[in-house]
Amino acid sequence: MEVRKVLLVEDSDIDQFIFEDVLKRKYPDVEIVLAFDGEEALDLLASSISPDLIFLDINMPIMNGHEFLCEYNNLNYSNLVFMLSSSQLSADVESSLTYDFVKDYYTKPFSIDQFNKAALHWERQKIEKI
Amino acid sequence: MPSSIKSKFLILSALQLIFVLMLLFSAINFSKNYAYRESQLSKYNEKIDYLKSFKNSFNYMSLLAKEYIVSHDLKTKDLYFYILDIQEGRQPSVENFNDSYADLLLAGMKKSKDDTRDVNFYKLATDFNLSENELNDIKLIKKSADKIQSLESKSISLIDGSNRDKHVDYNAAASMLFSKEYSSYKREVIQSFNRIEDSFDESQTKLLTKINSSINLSRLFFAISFIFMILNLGIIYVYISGGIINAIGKLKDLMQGILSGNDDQEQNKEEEREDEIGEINKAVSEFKNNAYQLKDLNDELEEFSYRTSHDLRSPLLSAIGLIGVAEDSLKDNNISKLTQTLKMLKDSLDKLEHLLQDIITLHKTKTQAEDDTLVELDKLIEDEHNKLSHMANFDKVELVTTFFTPTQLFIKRSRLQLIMSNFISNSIKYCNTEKTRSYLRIKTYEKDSQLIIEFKDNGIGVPEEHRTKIFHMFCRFHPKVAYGSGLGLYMIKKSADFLNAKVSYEPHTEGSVFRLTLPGGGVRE
Repeated sequence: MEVRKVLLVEDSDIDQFIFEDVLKRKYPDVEIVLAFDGEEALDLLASSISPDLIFLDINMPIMNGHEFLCEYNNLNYSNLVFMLSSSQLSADVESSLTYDFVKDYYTKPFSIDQFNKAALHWERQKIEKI
Repeated sequence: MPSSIKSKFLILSALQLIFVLMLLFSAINFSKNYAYRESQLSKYNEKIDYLKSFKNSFNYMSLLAKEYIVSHDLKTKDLYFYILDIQEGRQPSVENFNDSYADLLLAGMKKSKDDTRDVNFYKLATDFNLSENELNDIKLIKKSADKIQSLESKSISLIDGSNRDKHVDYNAAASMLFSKEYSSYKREVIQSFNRIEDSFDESQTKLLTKINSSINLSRLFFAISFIFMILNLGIIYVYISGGIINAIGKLKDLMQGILSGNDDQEQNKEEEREDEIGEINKAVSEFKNNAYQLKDLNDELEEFSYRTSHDLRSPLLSAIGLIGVAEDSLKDNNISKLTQTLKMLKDSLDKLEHLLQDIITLHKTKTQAEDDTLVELDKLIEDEHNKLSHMANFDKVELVTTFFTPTQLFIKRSRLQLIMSNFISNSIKYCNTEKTRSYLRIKTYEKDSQLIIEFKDNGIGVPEEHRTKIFHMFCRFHPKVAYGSGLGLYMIKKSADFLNAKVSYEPHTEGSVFRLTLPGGGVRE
């Protein structure tokens, strides 16, 4: 039982590059789906890509992380969301963690430890469902 | 016309005082005239009564004389002389005159005692303020009365000196009192009395008419003063309740609205008043504007600090992440990946530098003082355009300038430079690469004595949903097309504010139109 597919919602190509490099180095088999902003992520989810985990940035053009969470909450998805942002502001942290499906808040740069923790959350949820 | 509340109140109070004084004056005048009329009426009655009594006294004397001739009763003679003495203003010579007997006698003549007052010529001539004509009539009465009295006295003495049976004496005495001469004297007395009475009536009527018109005037004056006083009180009430209490109530609501941050206040019409309430309202409006301005500035500052903290941190954190990737690439001896990572690291740090540069420029735009200098607009546009020659797609965008106004401006140079530089760089950065010909047309013209500089391009434009916040800070509309700090249009707006200019956006069929409207006259030479 392991994570197979991850959705990264991130507008910075550099941060996308770092995420892919760090993750692939440890888990080369994990599929990474990229969304440039919240709106693109919702479109991808609607096309049934069904990722195991979603990593979500906050400051993005068009639809930012907070707006995405608000929309996502109104839809019937069960995917776990993990925040991945450069913001350390408590307002950002607290408002993100008010949603049940948001399991943790990580600050950049992305590290494999963050992914492992996220994967642990996912596994726990799977076991609970069984 | 004084407009302050204090002066209005002074005027209204002064008017009220005047009306109260008028009311008092008319009331006093009315009562004075009324009392005067009453006193005049009683005086008149007294005068008339006296005159009537006097007239009667002659009749009584005549009757008494005739009675004496017929009855030979000494008492009638006594009464005759008693009345005569009094008429002449003398001490009555008849002693032990019996009052009750006189009463009896008078009752026999069907006369009452009240009709026989003590009347005398002296009192008549002096006590009643008589006119000259009236005095002349009194003299005539006295003269005729003397004649009558001498005839009566003669006839009385004829009776006195004879005995009752002497018919000759009786006839002589009677003929005196029934003679034409006697009657004519008596008629003259009565006519004179009637004339005096008429004269009294006439002057009394005149006086009464005068007094009555005075009384009516006082009454009218009283009524007018009263009406004005009530009207003035009404004005004061309406002014206090409507003009002051309501205005203060509105002011209170306005203040509460400001304090509670409720902006849904209707236009404050009280500001147009020219009194203290108008002044207070103006001050409150200014306070309100300042408060909202301050709030806007504070919101902007908060947004700025939030965004800068994020946007400054972001490339730094990316750089740290990239260094980790570079280290791994080095371990793997993967040179191509290392090269790629280092390039990204440079891009990330470039972004950071670019953002810092914009923040510094923005700070300068907001704070640096600058004087107006002479600027050649065509030259300035050319220079700013040339500075951007390093940009990708620079050659693709054709710059066309058309000047319908003189190109010399007297303006804050660096602000105008910043505006030009940002508009030109935006047109290059966000040009539509799918088009064969891209352009930026800069045109100047005058409208309503204002100078307008228009920037029209056929670039990729601004998405409709972002148009309302086009001049907000950190708004990036095309993040995939090119990296921008999101501060360009915001800086344009701030620079325009410094030039007292307005900047507006308008979409057109194939791009954007921006207009910079500079206030007319002042900035140009």
